[in-house]
Amino acid sequence: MNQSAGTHSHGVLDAHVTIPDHVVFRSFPNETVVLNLESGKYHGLNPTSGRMLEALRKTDVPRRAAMELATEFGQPIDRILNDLIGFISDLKRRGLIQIEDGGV
Amino acid sequence: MSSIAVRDDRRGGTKPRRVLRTTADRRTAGTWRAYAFGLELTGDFDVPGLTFVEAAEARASTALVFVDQETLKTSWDQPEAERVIDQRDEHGRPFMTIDFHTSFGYKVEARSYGRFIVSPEGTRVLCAPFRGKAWRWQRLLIARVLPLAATLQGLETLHASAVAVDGRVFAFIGPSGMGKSSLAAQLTLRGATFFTDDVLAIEIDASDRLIAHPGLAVLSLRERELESLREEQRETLGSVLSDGAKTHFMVAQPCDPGPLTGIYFLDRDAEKGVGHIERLAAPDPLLLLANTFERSVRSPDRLRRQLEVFGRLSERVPVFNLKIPASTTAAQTAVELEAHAHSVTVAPQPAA
Repeated sequence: MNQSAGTHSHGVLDAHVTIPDHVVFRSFPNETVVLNLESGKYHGLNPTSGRMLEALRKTDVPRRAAMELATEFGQPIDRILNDLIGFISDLKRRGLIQIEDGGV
Repeated sequence: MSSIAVRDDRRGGTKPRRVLRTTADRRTAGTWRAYAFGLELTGDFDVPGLTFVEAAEARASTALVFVDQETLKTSWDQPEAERVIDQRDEHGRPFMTIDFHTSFGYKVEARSYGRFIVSPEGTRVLCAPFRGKAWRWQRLLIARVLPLAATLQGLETLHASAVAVDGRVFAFIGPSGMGKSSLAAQLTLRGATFFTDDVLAIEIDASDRLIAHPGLAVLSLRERELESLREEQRETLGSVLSDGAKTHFMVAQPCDPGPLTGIYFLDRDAEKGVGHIERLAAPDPLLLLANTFERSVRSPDRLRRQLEVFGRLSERVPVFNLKIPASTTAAQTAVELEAHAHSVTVAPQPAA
């Protein structure tokens, strides 16, 4: 989660990030549960990560999602971008998102 | 939602048309019809602990068919089947396995017990016991195979014991040996209605309500749990079906499906003194999911349903931590729990 948005992974910030059909999620008061229907594995996300996932689904493009989140959380955009890159990397490693026109 | 006869009876105020007895009583009458885990079951061989119904329009039906080993083998010649459960003993030998094939369903096999084939939709179960005491393979059928059939028929299962208090169902979850069955026994002796031991079937019904379905009328107690009961309490609990590492009682208290009203997580507390019950403000859905009983069915439709049902559970059903001091007996805990269960209030579910 500590990569610098200014030096790494610029490609992914403008890539199209999609949640594949085999991944579903459901939000709860204290967490979001993500289910990979192919592996049968559940993943728990804290509320902030759950909000990031929701923003990614809504906007498709991480940079747009980061702008939305920066406004919502009142945080500097660079910090949000760094967090988002780390989050996307984690989701990709777990097979929970697909990235087109870029990579992590 | 099932509309078995007894539900209509309750609404109409007429005498329930079902009785509880072993299937041996019905051998001469041909095929019997029974109800467990939300399924209408039919068969023509002895299965202890079933709750019979004379007429049923259950949400789902499952036919139990007794076959010999050769017949079962010819029904399952699927080398490409996927092994989805592989339980082994302390020597690494297979103890229980479950294989899955898209077209043929699930084959359950347990050493010294028997083999079963459950059709892909859970509508038919072929039962081929190994030689030995009938109770062994019957236990596997009711404790493992029927919950699998129920899952394939659209129900979800919690690894929990449960009782009904005033028609409301309360479930107990905890590791093996924590005292779930003892608590169910003690509450039953105090007037609650025994609901299930070890596996609780639940579903969201057509009216969007969370409904629990009774399991088999069999309660299993370990020796030390049994020793805590007086002779007259054992007799009150029911007739003994068999004994061994556990004593299995047939509890003569059939009951209806009912709203799942509370879930208690049992936890041993090293501290002395009285137990305490604490409500979880926002129950962790993953904690509830971790207590799913049936794990061999992994189709996308089932997994989606599982997430939805357990999600609703965490949102709608009060969940409590029940700390049980090491020095407290199940009988003492039951007193506290009974009073607590009466006090539990829930947000109203959608009207039927």
